[in-house]
Amino acid sequence: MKKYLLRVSLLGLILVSCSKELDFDMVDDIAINPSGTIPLATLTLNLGDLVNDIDSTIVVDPDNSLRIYYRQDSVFTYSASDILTIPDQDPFDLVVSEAQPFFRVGVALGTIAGAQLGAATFSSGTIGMEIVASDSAMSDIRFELTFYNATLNGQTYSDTFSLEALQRNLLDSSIINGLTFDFSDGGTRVNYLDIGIKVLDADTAALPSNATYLCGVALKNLGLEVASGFFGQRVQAAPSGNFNFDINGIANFAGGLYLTNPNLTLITKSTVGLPIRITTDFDGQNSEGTLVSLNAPPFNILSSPSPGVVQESRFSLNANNSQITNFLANIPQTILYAGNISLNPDGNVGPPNFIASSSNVVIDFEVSVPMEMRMEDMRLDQTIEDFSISAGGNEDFFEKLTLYFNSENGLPLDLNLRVVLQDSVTADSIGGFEIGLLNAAPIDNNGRVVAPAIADNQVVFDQTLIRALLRSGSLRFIASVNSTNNGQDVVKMYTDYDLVIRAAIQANSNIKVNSL
Amino acid sequence: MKKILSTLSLAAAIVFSASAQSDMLLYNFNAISQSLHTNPAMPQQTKVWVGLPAISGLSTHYHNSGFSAVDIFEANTDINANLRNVTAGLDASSQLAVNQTVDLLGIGFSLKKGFVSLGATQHINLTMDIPYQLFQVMFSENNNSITQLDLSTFDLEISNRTAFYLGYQHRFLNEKLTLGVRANYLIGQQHAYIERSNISLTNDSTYTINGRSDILVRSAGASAFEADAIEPMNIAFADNTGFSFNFGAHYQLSDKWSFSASVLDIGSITYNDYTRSYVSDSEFEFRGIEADLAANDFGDAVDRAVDSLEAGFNFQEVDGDSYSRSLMPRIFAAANYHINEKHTFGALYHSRIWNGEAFHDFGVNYQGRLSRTFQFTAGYSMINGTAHNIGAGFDLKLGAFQLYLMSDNIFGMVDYGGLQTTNFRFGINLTFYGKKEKKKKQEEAKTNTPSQTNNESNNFINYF
Repeated sequence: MKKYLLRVSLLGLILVSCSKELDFDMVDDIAINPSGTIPLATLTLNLGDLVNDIDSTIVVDPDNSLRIYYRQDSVFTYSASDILTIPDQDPFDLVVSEAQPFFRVGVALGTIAGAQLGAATFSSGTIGMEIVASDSAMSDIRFELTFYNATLNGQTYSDTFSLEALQRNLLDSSIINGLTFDFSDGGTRVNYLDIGIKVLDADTAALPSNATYLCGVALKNLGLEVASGFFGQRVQAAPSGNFNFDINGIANFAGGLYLTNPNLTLITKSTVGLPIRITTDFDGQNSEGTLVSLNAPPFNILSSPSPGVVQESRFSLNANNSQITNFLANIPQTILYAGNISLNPDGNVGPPNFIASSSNVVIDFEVSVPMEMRMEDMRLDQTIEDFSISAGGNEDFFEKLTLYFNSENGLPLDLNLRVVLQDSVTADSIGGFEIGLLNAAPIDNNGRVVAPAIADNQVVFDQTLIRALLRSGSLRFIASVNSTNNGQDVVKMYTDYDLVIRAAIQANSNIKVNSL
Repeated sequence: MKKILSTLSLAAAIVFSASAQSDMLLYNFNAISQSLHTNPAMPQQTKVWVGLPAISGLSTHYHNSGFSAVDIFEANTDINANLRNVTAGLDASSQLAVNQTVDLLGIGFSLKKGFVSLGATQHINLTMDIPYQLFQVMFSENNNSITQLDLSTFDLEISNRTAFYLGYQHRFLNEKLTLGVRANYLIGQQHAYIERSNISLTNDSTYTINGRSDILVRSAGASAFEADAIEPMNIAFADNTGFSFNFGAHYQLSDKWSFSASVLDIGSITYNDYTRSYVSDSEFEFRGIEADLAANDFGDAVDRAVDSLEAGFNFQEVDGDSYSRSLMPRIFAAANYHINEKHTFGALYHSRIWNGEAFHDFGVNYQGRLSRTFQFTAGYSMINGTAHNIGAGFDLKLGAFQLYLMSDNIFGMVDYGGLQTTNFRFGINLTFYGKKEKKKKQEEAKTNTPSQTNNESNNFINYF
């Protein structure tokens, strides 16, 4: 029995001595390396869907072709007060006395820029009366002011001012809303005012002997209800400003868009009875800040034929009379405008001018361009700032990453994409890649796509590129778009063009267990 | 907190688990009455046996057909190369089983031609396929794509149950043939198993993942720990009950040869209390973030993609569905050659069936019935494909107390680094053998009365 136990014990010792040593600290060295191909995104685009946006600048023509349509109403607005104003008049001095209790004189209405009024009705204004007497009277003295060429409610306009007893000065005014003047003196003059003042007969006896009364009459704060005549020949600066001009889908691109048949229309609506010439200065500024001027020639706004009638004038800008091709090729995001307005640019010719208080001139801006174009190096250059990916101290987390791109492109344009990884401190390029993301679909003789083009691309992030990605603080995307045949063919855009872009990533990881 | 408790309860079941044991040495070692656990017809040496509560039988079984610790952690080697090698060796048949059984109570006594046993045992089991697909994803240099993952063959079952048993064996044909049966009343405290795990993520193309899931995971008991007031008695005696039966036979062909066989755990448990099912039945296509460029709606595109994945699997928890689950049947078949009344050599086949798949063990053994005080057994087994399992066991009788200890792989306990299969069984019984045969004969000679045992003298297994 003892021998037996001894043998068993000995065998056990031999086995123990033969057993292999274990090292559980090796668990820290375990690296798991799963791989996987994960779909990242499936992006779709149907050009027809672009027009569903209520703010879209893209519209559909009856043949399902697309058109850029943009309209900005009331870019410029000129009101009656911008066109014609009557300045406050200096006082007209009229002198009466016991010996000459009545005085009448013809004077000229003061106007701006040589305006020659034949008639006018004032919606507002006052007549100011200042009387200075050389001596006071024992009783009130009344003075009657008359505008012999003005009527109010069909009657020649007169008003009475009273200098109180024992007073030598009077300062008074009278409202003249609705007062109508005939400045023509029977068609022989312009700006003519026929004014008379007299001491009323009943008060003549009360006048002190040798007393004289200096009466100053002034028209102030005149607001025109209607006016006619010749409003002068002058140039007036138009208010400047800007408005956004985003074209869906390409708003962030800059340059390289050559539209075959661009057209920009300025539409004016005038209820002013005078010819006007507009000189505009439109500049388009793109996403890169580049300014291109439209260089539109001056255009004339026709005079309204009669009061209350809206006269519309349209002025078309095209490749022959402006720089609209280059203007739109710049892909403006903002349009800056300025200009000036010339009244009666050809002088006092033609029928008399007329204006009413409600008259104005409004200028609308309309772009209507068929999407028939050529794109040559249309660029997008955008940088995503504050980009960071943390590897949690395990930069070897991924051995290799492969990005896959597949596109089924029904659009007649190539898209080349370059991605630049920029250093987080210096913003210098520390790596990147470039892919031809889209191949332009082939087109027929009319510029219409006949079949989609397939493109497959892959980008391999090796350890060097992965480390650059982890170091980068910003990503710069530079895209270049060309229409079919490297931007040489003119293509047309239709609603049935589709685009599908698929992206996936294949990751080969190398994950250290002790880093988790 | 409740979720954590329920998870911990399952985890505890894993840590302490044990069931479909190999029992390659216990089967023929009828010195201890626990051999009745493997064959209810196994002739017993004792006249009366009492299992001391909780300590009469403690057994733990570990089996990992896929790898051993030294396969991975051998010093001065490349652990990642080791893991690749281990992964290359895994397949759908690789399995991990951890089981634990505790004899809560037991008593047995002989009748004139029979033997009655009754008692209770607690079984905690974990049986699972080693998810070799995940090993491949993590460690293989090839076939490591998570998007070519197919877990449809993965099975797992965890259970914690109590069995109250009543067994009886009876001798026939001049005691050459013994037939036995054991009936078990079962109460399941916790249970979980994967009924279906047909889940796959595959790249149909570079840009598409097709996900398919037909998953049904059933569980019972774990959700009891989510109750506001945990009721231990409700958990211990949950309405998760069933019956199972063990059948056995033993035949003494001659002085030299005997044969035996048994079929165990034929039955099932119906789980009604604290049941919860996890269901997913869907098929979906994942294409990443899907966005319409015209709509310019990238704001919540990522959230939508994640939501689509979650919705794709369509996981649902369903409480209250009853279900039945069969036990894992086991089969033993043995042949023994008796050199003499003290020394016997045997051959044993054991099989267990889980989810329709059979796992086979083979072994040869020696049984030394040296004395009532000390009996010994040793053997060699091939257990579910893992070889080099050298086992040994003994019982030591100190008065009425019987101490026993055995393992199917004793060197696995020493060289634990290379361990793939082992078990360990320990217990203390109170045993009473009665008078020895020699004394009986002497007494019979004195009285000149023919002994019934004259016809039993060839049955060496009942030598004592």
